[in-house]
Amino acid sequence: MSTPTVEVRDGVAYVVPDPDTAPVHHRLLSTSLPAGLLWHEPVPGRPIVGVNRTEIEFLYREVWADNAYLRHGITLPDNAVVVDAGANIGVFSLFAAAHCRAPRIVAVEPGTEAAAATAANAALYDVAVDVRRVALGAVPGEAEFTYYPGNTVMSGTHADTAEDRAVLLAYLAADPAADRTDAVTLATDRIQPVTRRVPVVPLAEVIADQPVDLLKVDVEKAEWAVLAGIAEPQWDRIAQLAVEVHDLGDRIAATVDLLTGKGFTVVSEQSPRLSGTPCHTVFGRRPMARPGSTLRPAEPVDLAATFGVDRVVYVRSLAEIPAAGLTAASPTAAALVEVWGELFGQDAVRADADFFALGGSSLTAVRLIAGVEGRLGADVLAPDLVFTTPRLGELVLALDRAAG
Amino acid sequence: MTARDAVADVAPLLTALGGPRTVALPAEAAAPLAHLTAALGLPEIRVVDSADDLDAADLVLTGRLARVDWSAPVGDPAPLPAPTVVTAADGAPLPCRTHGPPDAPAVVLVSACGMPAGLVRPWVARLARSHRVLTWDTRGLFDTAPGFDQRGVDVATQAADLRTVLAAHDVRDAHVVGLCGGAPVALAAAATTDRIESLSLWHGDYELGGDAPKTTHQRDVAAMLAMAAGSRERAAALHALFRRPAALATLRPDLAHHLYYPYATAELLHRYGRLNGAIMTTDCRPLARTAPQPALVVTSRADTTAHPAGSAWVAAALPAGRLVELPAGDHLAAFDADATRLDLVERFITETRSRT
Repeated sequence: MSTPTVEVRDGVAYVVPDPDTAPVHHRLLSTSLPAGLLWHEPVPGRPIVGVNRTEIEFLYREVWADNAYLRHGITLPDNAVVVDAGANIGVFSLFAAAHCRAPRIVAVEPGTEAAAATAANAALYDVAVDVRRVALGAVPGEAEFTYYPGNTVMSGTHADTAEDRAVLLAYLAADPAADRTDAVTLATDRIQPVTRRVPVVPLAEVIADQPVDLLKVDVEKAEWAVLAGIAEPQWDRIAQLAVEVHDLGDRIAATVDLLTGKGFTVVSEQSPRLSGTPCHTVFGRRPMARPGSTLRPAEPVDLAATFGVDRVVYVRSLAEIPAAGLTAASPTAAALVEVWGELFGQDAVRADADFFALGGSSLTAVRLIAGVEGRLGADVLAPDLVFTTPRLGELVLALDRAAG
Repeated sequence: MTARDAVADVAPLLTALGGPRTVALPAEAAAPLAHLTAALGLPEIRVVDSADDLDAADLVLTGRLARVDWSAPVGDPAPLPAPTVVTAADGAPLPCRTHGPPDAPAVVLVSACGMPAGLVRPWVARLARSHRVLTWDTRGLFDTAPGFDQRGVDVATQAADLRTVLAAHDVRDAHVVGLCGGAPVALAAAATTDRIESLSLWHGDYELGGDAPKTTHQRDVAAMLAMAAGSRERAAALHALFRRPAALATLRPDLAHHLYYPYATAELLHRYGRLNGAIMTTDCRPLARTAPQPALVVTSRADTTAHPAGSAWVAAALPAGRLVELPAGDHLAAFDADATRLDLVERFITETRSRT
């Protein structure tokens, strides 16, 4: 077995990932992500592609760390047929692939960016996922899809901006990891709607004639319409379900009744993190559901801990390691340093240089972004990143971390 | 300033933001403020005692409302004057306001793109004594009518809006005042209608080709507008930046409630990107050469927003242009409209009219 090539410098481990022992990181370095996507490790050693770091961490915590879906007897057998309805960036699809052998996964996600992230994650982890970029509903057609670029998990065809902002605020209030000091700003920042038209298909079309071992549904208030799109003969072929239900107008009771009537053993619960929100999960399992796989995913390797450093930067070869000083490993960070020097002078190219102390304003920030984009293309730098991370050294670190 | 007038001043911004909003004011402001917003049909404003957690929009509202003595009784407020809506040929609503004697000579104010009408109040206050003064709100930025994406945003369209306003009010010999980005729009309309008798162009923001000097501000704003216009997603990402309190650092506090308006929401920022972006990228050279009317072109050496050299070039290119470069006064001085500037425009209007 070969070991990764590594050099440690200034508290950073520069690692050349081996294609056999670190295939995911090796693929990361040889893959260009679609515009607007980035990768982030919510836990060291497990990179996930998404639209922003905060949501990657949220989804990983929900799906992997808190195990939101494999509860109350819900299992994933080997060769499972899994329908991930409302896949978002595909974290559950990855989870499913890691917990059973040879699954067949269909991920349904109407959001362009999230669907692209699902496909990117599947490629990164070499998992066969059939990604369908459509919305689900009772009948075929078209619908208005509200996309929240800052909070893609709440995007959907039944969005209500004021309501969704209130739900996010309630979540932030209940989440011990969330930053409460700026909750209102955060909620308003993240719930900025952009509307699009998307095609709608019923689940009957996705399921077709195949038996389904697990149907997971997380579709932001559209769950009732989604379930209505299952054809009557198909219900008997669905072994298990896990459905996020928004408790609007007694919907939880109605969902429990529906699934009980279809022959499932049903349990409803609410995650403590979602207390104060209307979101609950309803689990349904048939007695004939197959037993779960014995496969357990390998624990990700924390290379920073292994090498005793603060952070790890993955490089294609040791020749890519930048010279000592303000190190900018990624193209985005390197472009930022270059533009920063042009804007504020080369004397200001220091790790402790502060954007505001140098006289930066909102328009200066735009100039900085325009300069970076002029070198690397659009959407490589979040416009307000300089406001949240005004010191150059920390900005470089944030960009390098995002790029890997 | 009375409480009612302060609330009326922030009404466009408040309406665009939607409620509820939060401001940091003395506790005694809560009840009268609630009464005023309810009586004037405006979104709710909540009062807190600390500005620590407020975003930029709420800080702007706070800044304006903090100038009021909230201990004074507010009574029953006079309603907000409703604009008259004129419809452009493509269906865009154009909210219009008229002031002054209806049979007096007409002056039309073409303000900067996306600025609420309150920004030109000093102009109106003086000119409406002896003129019929008309203003209108930039298409697509002050209404919620559907169809923005299907309608024009270019300078020719915005100039056509000026012609529509003139025709709808049966104005035949208007003096048109173009302020900042309103100057290119006025120029574009001048050669296409005989309803304009004369022009005055104040601190105009002109695109004059690659070699023309531009201020840093002009370059930065042009880059920002291009980003915002690119897509609604880009505008939403950019809007996150303008929601932070640090974004207010360069805004003049007494005018912030007007200047911040186009940045209030992601949708407004996107539309502003498209409309003002069109103004800032339209070549004004052919427009200046073909505007036949007598034109006063005013700038100042202290304008670091719209480069004074642009005004100098336009004045020289106009068939009947006259340049006045004032020794003092930054870009916003055009909107402050002090006595020097108002005397200047009234003299020009009088002189021009006496020759026709």
